[in-house]
Amino acid sequence: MLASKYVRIALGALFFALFSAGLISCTNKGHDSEKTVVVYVSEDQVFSEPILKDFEKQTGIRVKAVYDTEEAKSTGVMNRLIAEKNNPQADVYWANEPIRAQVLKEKGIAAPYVSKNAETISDVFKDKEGYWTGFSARARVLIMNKEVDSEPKSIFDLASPEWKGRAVIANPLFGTTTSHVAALFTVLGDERALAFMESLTENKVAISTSNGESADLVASGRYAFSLVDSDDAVNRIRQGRPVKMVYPDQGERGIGCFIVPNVVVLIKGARHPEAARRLIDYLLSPQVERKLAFADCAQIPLHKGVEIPPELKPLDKINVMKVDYEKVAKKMLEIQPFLRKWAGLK
Amino acid sequence: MTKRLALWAAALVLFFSGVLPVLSMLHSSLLLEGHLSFSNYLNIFSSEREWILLKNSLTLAFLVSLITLFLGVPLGLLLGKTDIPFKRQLSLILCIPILIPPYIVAVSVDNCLGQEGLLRLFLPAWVLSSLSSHYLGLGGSVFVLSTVYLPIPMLLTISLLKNVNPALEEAARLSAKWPLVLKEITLPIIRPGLILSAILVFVLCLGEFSVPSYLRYQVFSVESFTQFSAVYDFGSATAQSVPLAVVALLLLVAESLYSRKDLFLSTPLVSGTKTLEIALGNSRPYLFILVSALAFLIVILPLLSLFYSSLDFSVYKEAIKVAGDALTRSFFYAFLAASLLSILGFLSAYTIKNRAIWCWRLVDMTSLFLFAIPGTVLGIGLIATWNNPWTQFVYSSLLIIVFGYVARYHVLSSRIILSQLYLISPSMEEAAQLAGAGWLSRMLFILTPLSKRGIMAAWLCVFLFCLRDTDISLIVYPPGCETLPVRIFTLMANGSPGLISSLCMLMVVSVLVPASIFWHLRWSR
Amino acid sequence: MVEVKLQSITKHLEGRLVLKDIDLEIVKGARLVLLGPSGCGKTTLLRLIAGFIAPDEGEIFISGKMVSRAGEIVVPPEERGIGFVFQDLALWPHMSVYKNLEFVLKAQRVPKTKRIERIKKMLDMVGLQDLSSRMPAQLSGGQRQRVALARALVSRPSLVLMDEPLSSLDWDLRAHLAKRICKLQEEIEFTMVYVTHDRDETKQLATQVVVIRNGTIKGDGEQS
Repeated sequence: MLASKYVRIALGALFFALFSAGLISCTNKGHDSEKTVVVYVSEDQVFSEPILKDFEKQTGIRVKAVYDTEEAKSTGVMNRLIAEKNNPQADVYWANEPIRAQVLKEKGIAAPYVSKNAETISDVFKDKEGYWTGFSARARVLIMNKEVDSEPKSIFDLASPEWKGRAVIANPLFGTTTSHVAALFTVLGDERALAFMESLTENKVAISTSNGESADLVASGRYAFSLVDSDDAVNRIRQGRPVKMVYPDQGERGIGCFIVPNVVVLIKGARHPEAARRLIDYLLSPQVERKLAFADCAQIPLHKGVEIPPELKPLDKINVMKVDYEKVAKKMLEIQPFLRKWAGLK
Repeated sequence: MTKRLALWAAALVLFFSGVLPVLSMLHSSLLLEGHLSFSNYLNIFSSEREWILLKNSLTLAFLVSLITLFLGVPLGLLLGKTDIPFKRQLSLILCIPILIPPYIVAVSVDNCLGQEGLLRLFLPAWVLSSLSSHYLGLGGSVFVLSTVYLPIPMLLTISLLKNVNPALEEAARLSAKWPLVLKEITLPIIRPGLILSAILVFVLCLGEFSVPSYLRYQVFSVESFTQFSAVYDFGSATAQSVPLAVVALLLLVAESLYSRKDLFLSTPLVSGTKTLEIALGNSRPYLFILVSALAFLIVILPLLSLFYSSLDFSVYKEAIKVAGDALTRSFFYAFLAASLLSILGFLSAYTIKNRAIWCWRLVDMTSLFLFAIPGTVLGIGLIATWNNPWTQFVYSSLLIIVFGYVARYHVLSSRIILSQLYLISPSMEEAAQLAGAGWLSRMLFILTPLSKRGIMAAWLCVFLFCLRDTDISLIVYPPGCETLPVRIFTLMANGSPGLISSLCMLMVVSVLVPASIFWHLRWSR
Repeated sequence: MVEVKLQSITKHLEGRLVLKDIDLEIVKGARLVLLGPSGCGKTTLLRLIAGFIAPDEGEIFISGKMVSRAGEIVVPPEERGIGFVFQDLALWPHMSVYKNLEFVLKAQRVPKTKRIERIKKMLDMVGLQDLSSRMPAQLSGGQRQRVALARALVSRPSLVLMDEPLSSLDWDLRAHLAKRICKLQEEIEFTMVYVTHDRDETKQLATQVVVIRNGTIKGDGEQS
């Protein structure tokens, strides 16, 4: 009985300590000073957090972040931004692809800001009116198992009889695969794109739940090749798995490789506009692109002349698919019903 | 006066933290371009895919509740009624999975089966690879969720067995052996509680999305969750999540109607008598080995493999560095929510038991509904309701998380305390009333001490559920103030396996410490 | 002939000495009343005889056979051939009157035709023939009492233990039922151990009285 009395006292003390610690760690003091910036992040926390920490160190501005994951399909962050429209909490949104940024622009949640650091970034990766700006990009590449003799060179190989039943792609309802399909619709036109999608079904292309899973299925030899993000491929290569990365549709007449840049957006009605702009400038700087290139996400810098690891090709050596991301975003919403039907379980 | 004020206040907190947000979401699901329309609902089952997903969800939930019931009840009997050795320790070990976020269990089992996992040391490669290929999909989801929810029927059986009037079993023992007594007397008497546990498991499985999505089994909850990000149309996404909530709600309502008819469970006990213990005799060592083997297989082994893959000590330093603050916050939020919910749950339970305000049934049904509806809907509803300039103090502070927890887990605290209140004779309160005690002092000095055990159990239960909550926290946590499960969840994408494992270990340990302290306190009483 | 024999029985419950060095012999066919204030250990004594608990010290014999000894139940309750009427009756709430009786016979593997016959006869004896399909919750106090009695007797035990079975009833009903118990005992001829704190009941029922106080026997005697 005596022992349990002490346990109770100890418990009480523990709770009191927790209570005060919690209070200290989570009171939102100085919310309106420019010493804080609130950023919502869809890029994986493992890669984005170190960058934001560096920003804190360099500027003394405290970064409060809300993270999300591709695994959760970025549900948390995007839905927050939309639900918070009338009383925004975020200052900056760091998206891992431009489509969501475009959605924000159309929903009137983004504000224009043209950073001087973005001057040397190609116009393809920027919104014309400055609502969003791209940086460090992933490429949509083919990952193939090294044991396989011939090499697929084009995404159209997915539909070629040579590869019947030997390829896999992630479910096009989600993530970068959706954007990629939408991009194809804008580049090829509806008719050809629809025909291409139908031929995928006929060619028995398997569907996985994510690009990561596709990459693993290829690495394990279950499928010969797949269409994934460059970071998925680089990751498997660095792990020493028997895979190779191929940039698809290169050469003069190829449609080019689809590039998915990270994107940064200033939120309309941001509470810390000054700090927000400084963070955007920072994210768009060459030093951040260099860090993201060498990190495990292996992203391709959009600035010229940034140092990169050997697995990557510099952007100017890649034949890039010419797309208008604004159109891609519109197309993406338009083809949702088709995709749902296409991906429907059989 | 105080009485009505307090009871209404409790009902209103539930209204503002849960009902209003969900109503605002349902409202938006019924609007299409500003007009009332059911098209969001009519569209749900337009494609065959939705039906298949619903079928998958129901299959998963059905299998898991079946397995947990048929495994949990015998385990509950063994650990709660026999002289099996080390029963306290065994029950605590078997309870570990429900205390940690389910996807962590999925990760740890995955770790076990993986190419670098612990099992590699014992099993040949081909066994492993066939096991791990079955792990993805329905098989793995059923395994993980059964492990996670096994403690619900098990613990409920243990506690219900303690409430059976001992004389009922003794009367039967005079003519029958234990197996027949259990089959014909004991189990039928606690049957309503067992059915409740199966339904609870069923509902929890329906709403669970992290495990099926990690294991790539396509279910309705994953679909309705991702629906929120596919088109950013709250209306259709909410409509999408309603069918599951309706199924869950129907089950829970059916259960509560059914259980009201079976009042004999609440026959008060003759105080001081203990229920009979079953002597296992010769089979004691074998049964002990069997239960230990089960505990080893489904709990210890996965945890060991987590530990094994986080053996590098420097990873722990790193883990504490990146997640120490999140851990503190998790405890703090859970502590606040559990304390608040103990009070609210008590008031609601009092309301329900005494039908003290006219909407008592509504309070009960509402809290059931909030438990059944997907966390995403509740979370976004909370933002929509509370994010405006006048209520900034709620939304930009930890209050919003506490609100989410209160709405979500209210039913746990109110039901647990209610079951305790039913055991207290109304004359207790009446006697105090005649003696001139006001309502407040009757509550504070008569009913609260009498229902102390129920309140403590409710507090602990809610505390642990809040501590492991992922879906609501993920959506409403204030910037820079995330909880540990959220942090693990977001770091899991491309994080190093060692770090993830050590974070999971941190989570496990931080849940186990308070759980075992309370375990100890409860048992020593 | 001796039906039950207790030999220097001692029992502690939750650290408290409840029974101390009890020696007792109950003659076959007797109606023994254990008389004593509440909390004196009467119920514990019954539970020891029934085999729900084991004595700390001493031995128990039924029909000359050793059934319990220190710390061990040698013969489990279901093999002792005992009927028991509990203080709170302990009717199984999920079973009808008929099922309550049937369970006992089923457990002892009495064939179905015989079961039906015996249950009918038993219900007739206690005057409940019309209520066999009722649930316990639908019966009055006196009726429930008779069901409990019938359930304890239906297996024709040679020894019946009764733990204040009439304590919750009205005074006049109690007298009536006590008479019925006496009659039944004479008809079926079982040995009866009856626990009560009520002297009137004792007078009505007992052929042998044992007074227990603070866990020891304070006196016993025969009564006509």
